[in-house]
Amino acid sequence: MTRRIAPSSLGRGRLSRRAVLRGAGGIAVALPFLESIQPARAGGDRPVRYLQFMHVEGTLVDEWAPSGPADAMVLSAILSPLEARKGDIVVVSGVENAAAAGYGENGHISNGHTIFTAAHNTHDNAMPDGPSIDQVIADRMAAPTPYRSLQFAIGGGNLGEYQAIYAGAADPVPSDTEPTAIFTQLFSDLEVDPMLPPTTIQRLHARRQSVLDTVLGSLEGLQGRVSTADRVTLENHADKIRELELQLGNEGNAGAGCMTPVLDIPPDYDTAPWGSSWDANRDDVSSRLLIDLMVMALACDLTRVGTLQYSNYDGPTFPWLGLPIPGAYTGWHAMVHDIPNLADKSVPRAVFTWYMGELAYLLEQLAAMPDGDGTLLDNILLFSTAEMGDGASHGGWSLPIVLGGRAGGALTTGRHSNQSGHTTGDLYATFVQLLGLGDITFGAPELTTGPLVL
Amino acid sequence: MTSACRLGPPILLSLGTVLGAGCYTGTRADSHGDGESTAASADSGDASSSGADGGDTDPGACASVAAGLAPMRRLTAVQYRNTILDLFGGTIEPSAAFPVTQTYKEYSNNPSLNVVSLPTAMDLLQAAEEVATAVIDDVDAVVSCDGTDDQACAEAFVDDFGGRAFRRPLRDDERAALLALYGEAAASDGFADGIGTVVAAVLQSPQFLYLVEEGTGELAPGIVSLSDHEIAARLSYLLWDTMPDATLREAADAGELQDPEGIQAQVERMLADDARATPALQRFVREWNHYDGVPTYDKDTAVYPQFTDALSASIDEELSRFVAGVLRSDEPTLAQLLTSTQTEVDAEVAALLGADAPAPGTWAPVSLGPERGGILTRPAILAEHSHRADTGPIFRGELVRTQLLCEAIPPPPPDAMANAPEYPEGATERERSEILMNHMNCGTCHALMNPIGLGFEDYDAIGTLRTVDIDGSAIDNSGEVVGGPEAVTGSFHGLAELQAELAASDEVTACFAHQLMQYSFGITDDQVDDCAIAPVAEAFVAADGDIRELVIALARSEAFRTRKLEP
Repeated sequence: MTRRIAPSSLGRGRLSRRAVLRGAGGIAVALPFLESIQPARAGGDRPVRYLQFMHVEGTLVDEWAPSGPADAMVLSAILSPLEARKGDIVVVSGVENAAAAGYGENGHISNGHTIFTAAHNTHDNAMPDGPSIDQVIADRMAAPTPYRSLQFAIGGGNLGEYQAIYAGAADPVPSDTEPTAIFTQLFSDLEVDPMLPPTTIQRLHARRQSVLDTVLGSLEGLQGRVSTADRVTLENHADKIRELELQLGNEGNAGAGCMTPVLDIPPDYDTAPWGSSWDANRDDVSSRLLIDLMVMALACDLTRVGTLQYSNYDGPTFPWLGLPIPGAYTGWHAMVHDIPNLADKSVPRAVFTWYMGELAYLLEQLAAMPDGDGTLLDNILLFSTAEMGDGASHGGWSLPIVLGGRAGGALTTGRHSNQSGHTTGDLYATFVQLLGLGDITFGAPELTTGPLVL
Repeated sequence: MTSACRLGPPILLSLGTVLGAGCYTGTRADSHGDGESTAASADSGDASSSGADGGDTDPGACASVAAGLAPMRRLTAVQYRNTILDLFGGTIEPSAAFPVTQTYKEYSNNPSLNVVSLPTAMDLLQAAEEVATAVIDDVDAVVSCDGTDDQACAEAFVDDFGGRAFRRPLRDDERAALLALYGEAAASDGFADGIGTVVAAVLQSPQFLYLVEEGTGELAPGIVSLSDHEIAARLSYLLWDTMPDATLREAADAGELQDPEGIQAQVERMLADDARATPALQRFVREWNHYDGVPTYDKDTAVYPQFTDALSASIDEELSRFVAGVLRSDEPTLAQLLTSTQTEVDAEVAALLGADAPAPGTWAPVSLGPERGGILTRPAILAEHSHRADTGPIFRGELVRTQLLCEAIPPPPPDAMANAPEYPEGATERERSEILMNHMNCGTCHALMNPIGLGFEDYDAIGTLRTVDIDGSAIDNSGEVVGGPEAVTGSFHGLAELQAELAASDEVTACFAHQLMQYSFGITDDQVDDCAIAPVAEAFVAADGDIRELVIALARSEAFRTRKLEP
């Protein structure tokens, strides 16, 4: 793979679109990009970010965990891609997602909808009763960033079953899947060369405030003309537009490594939006592209809370690994269900190891990204898990959890921490503590005993 | 008056006998069930939802104006797509960023699940910007200035585009706001940006995103008359799932839509446009049947290895073709929807149905046996209302009870799942139902569902006919409609018999009218105003269940031209 994040090819130094606009039309608008004409405030006082990384189909629970003493752990074969970053991680074994078992939907929905929510499903519509941990963290951070959170789904298939992020009870937060659309959304305003004409989308972004003000005027103007129930609808909509304006007006606090990422997209990679013709066998490409985009979004402080999740649990045959999938099976998913009967587990082991390789790549990118006096890895809490523990039974126990980064110094890494008997609700309350965001209980109350000691 | 409000009683009486005091309170039927033979008044439809008003103050009297609730409803994703295509004459591709429409056992235009969240607002912004980008980059395809100067051209565009997007002529303040946006953008970045910025604002405006029905003034306390353009929008989104076309707008401009005759002329014209009307009515039939597709992951592929993506798509298409066949036939009736044995198949679905397969990739008409008559035997409907590996008598019975009989089923008590019975390994669905019906007080409500659903046992979880149950015994397809209308109540064997009974019932026919009003007005079953629906249902019954006549009757009704503001 070639290096995917490269300095801007423009090479003329960076100048914000805002400066151009003020010069040209006198339009002072708040824009979701950086004041890149000024040096980024790259002091040591960098914000701590939270990023969650979810791979799919569980793992081989019997052989996944590290061995040896907790502070001198020996990584398993599946975890071996993390060897070079062993000092930057905490492997957490034994934690259970206790909400999955009673969720009452199929194994993918039950695990996918509870992995980050630890919540029950009493709405009878397959959606959980409460928010996901990332959204709680985003609420508590209330960061002055252009995006409250970003969530990218790698692959784009099975998104319904793996709708994992919720702003509240039965309030799903959609994920973005398509790299070029994400790039356009996040980075098209980042660096604007004053010598080049701005693109159409850059000009439209520059006028967002005026457009949204007009929309807001309409929402307010209609409120006196309709029924009480309609007025509630319009007032809610207007509130969200105001929130959106505030969010878009945020500029964040970009780190020294922030620049426009260069996407290395193979010419035959299908960039069609979600749904139609997604090719699960290019998930290797999607994975690196979306990891790169997420790392840069964090480096640029476009958001401080992110989710990277895989969603194709069924479709990929992992051609880049050269494995005999499906072999005798209808697909990868069918093979996982049959793991207990496999005499030779080398194929599933290779797939689960690949996911850890992607996690290692993510850790490398974070470690390579300057941020304050250190790197992004110093200033992040990275949480990696599968949506289930035992892939074969789709069970929610023994989740394969890896924490990465030092969370601004709050997390001591280079260890194995066995947390048998604890639940994801306990772990997520611990995250909130580590991030300095207070004490909470999280998820279904009877499934949690409070924060744990990592 | 009594004849105008005769819908309630048969349903009430039948349910009342079933439920007695054992089932839970809060059903629509219960709260109406105070023994009045004409239990409708102008607000009776809603009192039940709060449960606060057990006895309507004026039973038997409909208000002078038979208006119903119709909350402001947001365009569904389908309606958005169609509307963008029509707004730009097909030159601009709708954005995929538009939010997915959430549904759960309500019609997709019901506002309750589609409130705007922050991510939704962001998606709406991005969708609007995507379309605006395409407009700016090819502005000549969207605006033709014909030699006029930019400002005059922009004003003409704002009037035309804005008026079509808002589905009524712009008000002065709206026009001024959009022209101000144009002027600001055009001054810095030129004409195309001015036009594109207007488009970005219009496509996020509530006048575009919602069917806003302000009305033209109070007809009676709390009831407004709709404007001609509001009626036009109701018609076009009901019949075509898109914005009014030029002919409909002209009829509205000419004031022709306050007159039932003028409305009927438009409905007949619009129904004749198969390419638009059929997909919209198909969508209604799908939503009526709580069908939204059965992806392969909904089924246990170890049990049903044949349930591939291709078969999942084919059963979906077969459903569409079956419905279209009835709607386009000489007898487009509810009875035909419930009994017709005509459909079209491809090789995939032919294999499931045991029909002769046409060449791969093609579809051919077939005539099937009575065991494949009617909407309830479509594989798509049967697969939707099943478990992953097992049939689903509860789901299938619920479908009949709520969607065909229009009878409410109370929600399960909170501890229902915790107290669920244990079933022996390998028990058949009939055996499991027997256990459930006799467990604690489960049977009081499950009597409304399971006995009907057991009559579906001829069909497995992907809708294939079967003769042998999971324990090796012969399939028993006996079912029973406990309570219910006279034509339907009692025991039956298999779906041919059940659907024939449903087709013969005036109450079932009236229920279908009830469903269409829910679909058109974006309301829940308990929000349907009995007085508003009564004349529509009567006309539908009188027309022997002709669905075209139903649509005409709904569109001609007073309720279609009016709106009740508060419950």
